[in-house]
Amino acid sequence: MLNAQKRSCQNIRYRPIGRRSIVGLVAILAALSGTHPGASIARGGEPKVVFVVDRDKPGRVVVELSGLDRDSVDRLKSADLDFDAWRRILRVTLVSDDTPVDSAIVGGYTLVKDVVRFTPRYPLAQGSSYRAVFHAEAIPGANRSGETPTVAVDYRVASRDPKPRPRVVAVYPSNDLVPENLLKLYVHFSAPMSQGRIYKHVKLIDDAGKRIDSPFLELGEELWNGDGTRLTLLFDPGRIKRGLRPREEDGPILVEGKTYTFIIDANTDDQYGEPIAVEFRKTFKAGPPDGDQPDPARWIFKAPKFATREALAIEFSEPLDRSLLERCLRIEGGSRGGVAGLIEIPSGEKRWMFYPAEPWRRGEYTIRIEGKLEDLAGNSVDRPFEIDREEPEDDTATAKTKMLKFIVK
Amino acid sequence: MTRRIQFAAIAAVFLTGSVALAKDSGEGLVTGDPGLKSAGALAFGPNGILFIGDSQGSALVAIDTGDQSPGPVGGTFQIEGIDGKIAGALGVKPRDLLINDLAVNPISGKAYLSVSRGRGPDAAPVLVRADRSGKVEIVALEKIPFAKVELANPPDPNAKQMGQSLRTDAITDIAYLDGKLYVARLSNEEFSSKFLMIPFPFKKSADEASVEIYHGSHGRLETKSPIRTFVPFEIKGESYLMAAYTCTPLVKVPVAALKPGSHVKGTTIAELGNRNRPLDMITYTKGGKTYLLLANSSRGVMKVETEDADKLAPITSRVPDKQGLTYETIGGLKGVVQLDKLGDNQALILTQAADGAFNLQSIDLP
Repeated sequence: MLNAQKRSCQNIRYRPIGRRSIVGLVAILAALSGTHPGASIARGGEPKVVFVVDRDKPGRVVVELSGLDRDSVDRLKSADLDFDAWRRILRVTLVSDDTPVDSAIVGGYTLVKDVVRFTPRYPLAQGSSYRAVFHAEAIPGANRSGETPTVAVDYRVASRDPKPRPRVVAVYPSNDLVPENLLKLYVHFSAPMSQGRIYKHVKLIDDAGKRIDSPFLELGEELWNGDGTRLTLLFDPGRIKRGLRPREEDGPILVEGKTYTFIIDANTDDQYGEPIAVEFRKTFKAGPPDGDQPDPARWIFKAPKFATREALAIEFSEPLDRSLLERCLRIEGGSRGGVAGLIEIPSGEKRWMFYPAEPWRRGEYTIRIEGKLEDLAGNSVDRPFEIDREEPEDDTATAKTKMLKFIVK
Repeated sequence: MTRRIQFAAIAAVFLTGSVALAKDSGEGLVTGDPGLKSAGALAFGPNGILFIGDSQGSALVAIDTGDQSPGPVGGTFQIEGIDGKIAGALGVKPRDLLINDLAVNPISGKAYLSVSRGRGPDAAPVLVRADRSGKVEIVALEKIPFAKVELANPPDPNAKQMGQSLRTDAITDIAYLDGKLYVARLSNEEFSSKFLMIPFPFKKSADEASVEIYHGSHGRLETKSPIRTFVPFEIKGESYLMAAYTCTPLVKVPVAALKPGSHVKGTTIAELGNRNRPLDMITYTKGGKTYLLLANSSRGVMKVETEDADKLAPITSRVPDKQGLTYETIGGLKGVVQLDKLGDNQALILTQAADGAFNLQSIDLP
């Protein structure tokens, strides 16, 4: 800690303001979790600025200005100051590359018991440095021709404790054979990731190592789940759909029979901006295109045995969308309604296993299927990815079976 | 962009009643904290009302900006390195900031930007206001007149046993027109078009309509591609939405036909060419003609004539690059990621320079 303090002191640069430039200068290096991160070397009876942990909000750091003379306090009390006026008096800024940035941090100023307190609207960021500067001459009515003490204090918020870097834990579809009109990839990470720049870090190469140009749909708002651990990548639909210019000009992204490698580079950063450090690769081969809807009538399953908790296993005729499988199938037990249990989707996404929480009872059960359940090419139970209006007999939007039944005897 | 589109209605309406209603406001606003979880798509409504799309919170929020004083018209609006200024005010480095959308208040000419402070899932939503003087300020949202409508997600019956549902819907764009808020959404799971129409002031009982939009290629292959960005415009007194799809066609939809449960046919009026990722667009009138200004990823900013949009036959066959509406690429505008109208004769654009910094600047409408 001592070394760090020294280093921080050496790095401080400040610009003198007024005839007498700096009365007090303090560099503080302290952890957010510290009991008292603030301190000062200001001389007694002189203005003093400290970063301290907010007593009311542990973990939040505020800036306090004390030691003001009575005259200054009275003038502050009688003045009706807005944010712009306050920040000229006590200016708190981020320090980037050893230099305070131009913009003052937004927050609220209060004057309680002769102490000016600045509460940043947002918590100070871990691993960042900040500077608070008190400009006495900015107090309304201050004697600008006299000595105007300026106090500058630096503070560095400790970096977070090092933690294992996130890694890619799964990519779906998990098979290494996919239809050439594959629509989506789901990438699961072990910890929350940064959002907003992911498309720079994902790529697809062919078997010669050549990068495929813009294979994924790049959206302003990337498709993450709520906690930032799962990314959905859509293959550019303009190059999947037949007849659109992108596909006419560049052809499909994936071509049957060819092998591709999906790469997430090592610079992909986690929620704290730290790179995952290890590149992820998944190689797969493109198979024939799939224009058919999933057809539950072709699914294979058998009724589980009475009074057991053995799994109901449904075998699909093709791999289905991993995420939709988690919520588009439901077991109902007659008038008893939904049956509680656990779902397991084995690798390959061709099977769906349901383990009931209670033993199976005698009677009829229903497997209820949401029409939005899709296969790997975006064909759903409700409708195919593309509907050919000129061939209505072959390819209509007629919904398929959405209910299957079995009887436990 | 050469093909035909169709709209197909779906029955599902994923909207619940609004959260906040007050007796004393014509717009149903109450004062408080709208509780945004994220701030994305922006659009101005009447009287300085700003709509904010909150994808993470699955909600739309209307706030009263109180910004109703007419501002100066014409002249220059230029703020270089606006991301650095915003980041500094928020106490973070520019790399820890994301600018999500830009909307100009048509009354005051002030720019509003929705921003994320931080890049992880816990990033704080922030609203920023900037004006011609170069002033950049953070809009306090803790105590502001607002109304909110929550967009309920479809049920996830297995979420309890599987843990938290992973499903979210991004709000890709919003626009206000004649008492209604139009909302385009995109799921992170099922691939389908979701287009909502929500009356404003928000009502407690939801009579909102959800329309699923399909569009075709060669006039025969319908798909359910989502809309990326869209804008209302008028041709000869009739209101339309011009929608740019995730797969590039530009599609005209008559607003009058967008009714709950209706099956609406849109018309592909232009296909803007390959790798043309539409980012944002506006419409404007110049010399008695209506134009569309479209920012996109590969061709910079394109000016599209819409005057013939009512006469053009739907594009139903494979065509050369420039069939359909004619357009020209506006030179000298690189890296435009957002744009909005700034008065009748200007647009405000957000550009990203080669060094990564963002600049806000006005341009004369071409």
